[in-house]
Formats: sequence, structure tokens, C-alpha cells
Amino acid sequence: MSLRRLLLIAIAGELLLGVAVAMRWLPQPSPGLPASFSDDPPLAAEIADLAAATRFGGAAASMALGDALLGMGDYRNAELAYRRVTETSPQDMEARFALAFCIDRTGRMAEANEHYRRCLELPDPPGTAQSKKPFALYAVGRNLLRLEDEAAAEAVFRQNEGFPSAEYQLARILLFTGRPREALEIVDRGLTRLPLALEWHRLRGRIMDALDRPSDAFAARAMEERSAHLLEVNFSTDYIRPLTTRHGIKRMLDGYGAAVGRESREQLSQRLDAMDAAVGGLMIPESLTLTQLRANEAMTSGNPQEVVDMVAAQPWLRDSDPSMAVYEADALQRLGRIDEATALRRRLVEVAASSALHRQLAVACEASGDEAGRNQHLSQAELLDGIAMYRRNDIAGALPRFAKAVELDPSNTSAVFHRGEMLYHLGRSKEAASAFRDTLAQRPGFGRASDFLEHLIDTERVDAENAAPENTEREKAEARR
Amino acid sequence: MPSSCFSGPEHLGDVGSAWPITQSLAEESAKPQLLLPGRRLEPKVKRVRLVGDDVCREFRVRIVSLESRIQPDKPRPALAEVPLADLSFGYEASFLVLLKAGVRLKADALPISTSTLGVLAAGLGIALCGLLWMRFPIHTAFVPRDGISFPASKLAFTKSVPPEAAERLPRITHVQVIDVDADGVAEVIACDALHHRIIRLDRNSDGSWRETVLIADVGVPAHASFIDIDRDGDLDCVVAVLGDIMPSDAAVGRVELHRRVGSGYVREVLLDDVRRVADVQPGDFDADGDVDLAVAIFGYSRGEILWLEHQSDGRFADHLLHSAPGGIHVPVADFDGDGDPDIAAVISQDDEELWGFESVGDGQFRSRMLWRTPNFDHGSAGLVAADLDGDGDQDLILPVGDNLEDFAAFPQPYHGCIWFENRGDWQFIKHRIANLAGTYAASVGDLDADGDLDIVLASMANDWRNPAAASIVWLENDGDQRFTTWQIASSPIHAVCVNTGDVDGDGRVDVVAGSLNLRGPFERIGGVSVWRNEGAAP
Repeated sequence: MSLRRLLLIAIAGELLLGVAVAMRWLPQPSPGLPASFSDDPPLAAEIADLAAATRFGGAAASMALGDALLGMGDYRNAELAYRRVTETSPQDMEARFALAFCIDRTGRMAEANEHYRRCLELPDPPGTAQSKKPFALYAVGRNLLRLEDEAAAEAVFRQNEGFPSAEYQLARILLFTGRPREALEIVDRGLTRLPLALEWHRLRGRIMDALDRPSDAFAARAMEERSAHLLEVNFSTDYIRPLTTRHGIKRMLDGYGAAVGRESREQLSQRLDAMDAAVGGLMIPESLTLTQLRANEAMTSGNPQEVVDMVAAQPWLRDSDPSMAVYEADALQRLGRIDEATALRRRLVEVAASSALHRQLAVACEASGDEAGRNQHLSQAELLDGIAMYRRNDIAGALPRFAKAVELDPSNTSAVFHRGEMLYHLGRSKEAASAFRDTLAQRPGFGRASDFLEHLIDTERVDAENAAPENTEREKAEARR
Repeated sequence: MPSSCFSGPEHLGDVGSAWPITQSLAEESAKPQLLLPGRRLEPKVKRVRLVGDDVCREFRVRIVSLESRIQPDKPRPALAEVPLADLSFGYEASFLVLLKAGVRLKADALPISTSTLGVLAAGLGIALCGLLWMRFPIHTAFVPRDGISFPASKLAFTKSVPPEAAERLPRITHVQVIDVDADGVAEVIACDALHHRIIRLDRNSDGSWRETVLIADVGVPAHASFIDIDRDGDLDCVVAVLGDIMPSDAAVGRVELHRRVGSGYVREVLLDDVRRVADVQPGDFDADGDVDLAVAIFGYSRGEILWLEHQSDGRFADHLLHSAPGGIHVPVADFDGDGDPDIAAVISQDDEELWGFESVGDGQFRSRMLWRTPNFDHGSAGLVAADLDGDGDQDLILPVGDNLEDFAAFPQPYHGCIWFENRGDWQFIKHRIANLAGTYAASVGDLDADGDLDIVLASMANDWRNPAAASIVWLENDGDQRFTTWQIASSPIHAVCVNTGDVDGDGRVDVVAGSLNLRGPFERIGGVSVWRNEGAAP
């Protein structure tokens, strides 16, 4: 066989192979797609379009597909899309981070760390509000912890100084490897920056336990209750959440939420119809959400009977979804079926108590001449409102709520206790101790009141001893013990 | 002119005017007229036909139509054939034509030098490699290999589904096999968090199930313990009330006592104004002869482990044992063998730890951390006390596979089941005994009736896109605590609780599981499912 012939055969073979590759690749969207979209039919169509666009759309199209897949929780197919982006645009930090994340969440920690580390070498995209580099470095440490390599994780977290979650993990490692004092320095530094970070206070409590300082441990845990700030210890959900409402039924629901107050009732109703059509008869959580929106729509458009009919047609709604039961009770009230509404609310308050529910029941009690019942419900409403304010660290605002709750119903032991708790936080120790004593008088087994009172008495004693100049250091130490 | 040997269709289609045909028009009278860029003519080659001949080893192109705008008065050139060798055109076009024509190639007929062909072959090869590895990389989606599915069970199981099971998206948080009415026949009791109730399932003689609501209007029950708390001879029900199935730090939890009175139950709140309560277990911790309670307040960002002291006036006083969110289960057993009940606890939120609370008398406890992992993603999902190795002390069994902190669950390499062997003096040795992905619950029982304890595991977060992924497995104990995993079922999915017991009175240990359908995929849906043990598979 001549050389020319061989070459021609080679060329023909190459061409055939090229055609074969093209035929294999072109009909299949790459990356591959989940076999089933049974949970969200509109999403199926949107993903298919995105996948088709990746054939000729370059990195941007693959990125869009990856984001959509990640938003639906399909890490492994999202990984393929992000891989494509990183192959064509190796400098793309967002894609590299997303790729690392997908590998991370599918349990390949060491491989994920290679990509996270590469993120550290890439420039942040222009206009980035928050660099992903600290998160990438934190994820490296997190994966090392997942691999139970605390020493390596410690080294990585030390590199991430200034990133609160990394410092928190570093402090934890120090505590659990027998270095509580070093951990305490980091925690106290963290608390100066974020005084109401719950994790810092909790860790401080454990450190104080380790240092055998029970009073300080108690004080730290008392601060947990009013600390509303959470460190981003696990950023996974926060990272994905913005992607979850970009496509499919969730996008439609998100759009509906944004349209409320801007669009006419008719337009909103059309949106609901479109979502109903999309959901069809599927058994998915969004079908219940749609039912709630329908009920809300019926109530705002002054059609309570529609809500009553909805629940009558599907009685399980009342039992399985407190919010539907609330709509039903409100609808019955509007229809003048007061007794039914009140009976339903009395059931509801056992399952899902709320301030609003207690206030409605107070009105019902008042209407029936039950003043004690009215006061009890109003007291509970004030208690719940006060707790909500307390959780937001509004101690001064919460105190009068609890006081009012006690005034309305002096036997509301929880209100008496929480009033004492507010007084404690406000530094009014004597009044707080008095409130805790009242709590214990009503319910001797109220553990938290007992703990607070014990703490206050102990603190007072230690303070008194410290104030007495004749006490020696040794006596002080004994008193502390 | 040689006759054509080509037997294919005459018209091969337009090839356009892009053919770089360069033959001179000067010989137009003697030779076929073609191409004229040198004379500023713009020929339009409408159709070109290849004529091939195996014998004559020659290719010809026949011009079937040619138009000229410059010399409109001249007669049109006759349709002609021209040897391919007289044409000079680009490689791409020539191969296009060859492929289209399906003509067997005659190497000598091509007017391309061998070296050019070599370069072409090499170039195409490189391009093809580039195509494969750069432009069209073929990656395949990651498929976890371990812990997904297992060999079919060597014991035969028959599945049956109570009526409520597949309606809507069930949220079953706890199942147990217990003779709650002391009639000698075990019932299945389930906490139905979707409908806020505790249900009872009785097996009919035909094998179907009858469902009744035992207790209604319980705000998301997480666990129900049946015990005669008032010592009146019947079983009361103590319920751990979550209050909210979704992550919440609100004080919506409760411990409720539903006291058995006649044929019904009367509610009494033992503990409220606390966060989500995940578990409550009975035990006489102060040795005063009445039933106290151990309580796991899971919460979310804040939580606690408590014990409730049953006081002489019938009320309960709460005592803090440990402050941390994520307390799931608090099994009660005499872990140190000193004759009084102790408490163990699994913490699984920021911290992943096992704790032991040693009862030291008079309601006092000494707490100690039994184990921890720095992997705060570990996903400890429950804790079961049992004497797995039959050495007379209580071991601990830890199912691992909760990843509800993630938006979407995925099997992790550390998922599975860990046996903590009690070596005495509060020393527990860790043994990893199974790797079922997404393991969320465990129960023990001698399934194969060989005298040792086996384990049943339920998976909440296996690779559900894989229809073969296991949701229920059992671990066969060979008597020396070497375990073999056998798959019982791959449906329903999202199984979060499991229990064992004889539901049909045949003396064999059956399996009951419950599913919590919070996350997708929403397929292979179930609520309570029962697998009757039929003995050795045929």
C-alpha cells in the first residue's frame, strides 16, 4: 500500500472520527441533565433551553446552566457545566469557586480543596462586592476538618485572619486541643467586633467551663439568648439560595411575591393560574404554597366563602397546615360563624400559638364575658411579643411587654421569669432576683429561674467579698470555688 | 474522452461559487470552459457532478451549467467534463465533494503531493485531538460508588403500606412497634408531623392496616414514649413536641403528657417556653420510685439537654444537663453498670459529640464527653442504646447521614453507622460498621433469629436519582460484630425513622419505617411502611 493511500485512509479515518464525535456530542446537551424533572415541569423546559444554548454559547451559557443546576440542587451536573467554564475561561473565579463547591458537596474534599486553592490565585471579578477568597480558604479548612485533620485545618484557619467564621473554627480547635486560654483571646477579640454574635458567646461559655469559671460560663450563656447575629459557619445554603428562585416554579412564586402590591388583582390571579397550570396535579410542596396564596387572594378580595369551600373540599389542609387553618378561622369570622372560628383557634393555639391568635381569642373571650380568659390570652400575646423583642436584643422594649403580661395575668409564670431575665440584662440585679423568687414561688421546679437566682446570689457574694479589703486573696479564691 | 463509470446520481448539489478553480479561459475553444477570475468574469458553477471510474482511475468534473455576464452574445459553452487533475481547489472542498459523492478514492488521481497529504493528515489529527480534549471535553457526572445500594436481602420481606402512607407528602417523624393497649398484639404507633397527631395502625386479619388517631392537635410531634407515668396501670404517652418542623429558634417546643383516661388521653404540658424538643425518655434518675424524664431540646441555634424531675406534687422540675443546640436523642440506660439509669446524648449541630450523664445519686449527674469529631458536617442523626455484642453492658449505635444543613443532600463518605463499644468506665470504642449513604435512623433486633442482635438502618439522603439506591437495609451480625449489609428496600425514599418488632405475631422480627418528605425528589413517596419478615429468602 502506497504512502499516499495510507495518508488518505488516515485522513478519511480522522474525518469519520470527527463526524462520530460531533454526532455523539451534538444530540446530547452537555453537561448531561438529570433523568427526571418530575418535581418541576417548567424547570425542565428552562434547563433544556439552557443546555441547548451551551453548544454554541461559550462560557457564559455554561455558567448559566451551571447556576440553574446548582439552584435545583443538582451538584454533579452543575459540576460538569462549571468544568466547561473553567476549561474555556481558566481565570473565571466564580466558575472555579462553584466547581469547587460542587465537588465539595459531593463528598470529594481533597479534590475540592485543589480548586478552592486555585481560587486564591485568581483575581476577583470586576465589581465584586465581596471577595470569595476568604470563603474559599475557609472551605479548605472546613474540608480538612471533614477529613478530621485538625492540625492542617488550624494552619489554614490561621491564614484567614479577620474572617469571623475561620477565627471561630480556629478558636474551637484550640479549645478542643487543650488550649482554652488561647481560644479565649480569639473569642474576646471576636466579641469586640461582633458583640452579639451567638457563636462567640456559646464558645465562650464552653471555654469558661474548661477554665472552671462557672459564673462566667453562665453569663456567657445568658448572652446567647439575646444574640441575634449568627456567624456564617456553614455558607452552603446562603451561597445557593439566590440561585434557587431563578428558574421553574420557584421563579414563578418569587415573581408573584414581587408582584404583590404592584400588580392588579386580576394580574395576580393570572399569575396564580399560570402557576396552577405549571404545578398541575403534582404532589410537591409548592402545591400547598399555591393553596395558601389562593386563600390569601380570596381573603383580600373579600371572598371568605371561597376559603371555607377550599378547606371543605380538602379537610386535611386544616390539620396539616396551620396557616390554612388561620385563613379558615378568619374566613369563618368574617362570615359571622364566630363560634366555629373560636373553636378552630382554640385548637390552633395548641399547635401553633402566635400573638395574633391569642389576641383574637381574647376578643372572643371578651365577647362571651370571660374576663379571666381574655386577660390570660392578652397576657400570652404580650409574652410572645416580648420574647420576639428580646430575641432582637431590644431588652428595654421587651421589659414593659413582660410587665404588662404579668399585670394582666400574675399567674403567667413564664412572663414573671422573662421580666426577671430582662432586669438581669439591664443590671437591675435586686429586682431581677425578686422576679426569679416570684417565679419559683409559683413554680418551684422552674430550672432557669433557679439557675439565674443562684448566679445572682453567687455574684453578689463574690462582689461583696471582693469589696471587703480585709479579705485575703486566698479567701477570695475559696469564696469563688 | 473516457466514458464515465460513475453510477451514482447525476446531480450532487450546488457547491457554490467558492471553488477556487483557476484554469485559464484561453483554451476555451479546445477545452472545457471554466473559470475565469483572470478575465474578470464571474462564472457561477451551478452544478458540479463528479464522475469516477475505478478502471480509468480518473475523476472528472462535469460542468452542467455555466453562465457568463461579460460575453452574453457568445454561445454558452457546452456541458463538458474536465479531468479532476486539471482542477486545483482547496482541501476542504475537495473532501466535501468526495464525501458527498461516496466515490471510492483513487489515491493517484488527486493532484496533491504526498507531503501535503502528510501535513494534512497530521493537522487533522491534531485538530481532532483538540476537538476532543479542548473544545468538546467529555466529562461524566460523578457517581458515588460506596454506600448506595447493596445485595438483596437474604431474608425475604413483604412490604405493606398503611392507608395514609402515600397521600400528599407525609412527614413521619417516629415509628415504634408496641403493644400500647396490652392486649398481647403489637401495634404500630407513628408521629405524624404533617397532620400534627399521633396515629395508631392495627393490622387486620387480611394483612391490611386500619388507622386511628390516637392523639390529635400535637404541634409537630417528634417522639412519643409510652409509659405508665401516673402508675394507674395503663400506658400514658409523653410526647416531645418540636412545634416547627423547619429550622427555628423560637420557643415553640414542649413536653406534653397525654395521660390515659378511659379510652382517651388528657393533655398536660410538662415543659413549655422552650425551643424545639426532639426527644424525651423515661427513667427514675433520683431513685424515688417515680418516672423522671430526659429531654433533648434540639432548638436550632440554641438548645439544651435537660432532665425533668418528677416531684411529689406530680409536677416536673427542669434541670440543665448540657447547653448546646442539636440534641437529638437521649437514650436512657445503665451505661456504667452501677444499677441506676444514666443518660447518653447525641449533639449534632455546630458540635458533633456524644455525651454521657452519669447518675451519681440524688438526682445529680456527672457529665462527660464520650466522643467528638472535628467534622462539623458529620451529620449524626440519632442514638440507640443496645447491648450489641452481648457482653452485658449497653453500647451505643450512632446513625450518621443527616445533611439537612445543605440545600440539597448528597451521600458523603463518612455516612453510615458507628457502633460505640462499651468497654466499661465510660470508655467507648468506635467501630464503623456500615456505610449506607444518608443514614438517619437505626434500630436493633435479631432479624435472622440466630441469637445475636442485628441492626436495621434507614436512609434519608441516599442518591435518590439512582432508583436502586437503598432506603432500608439490615446489617447481619455474624456473632462477632462483623456486619454484612443487605438491602431491604429502595422505596419509599426519605426514610428518617425505623423500628423493629413482631407486627404479625409470627415470632419473626419485622421492620417498620417512616418517611419525612421535606426535600426532593418527590417521587417514591411513602409515609409509614411495614416490611414483614418472611424468613430466609428462597
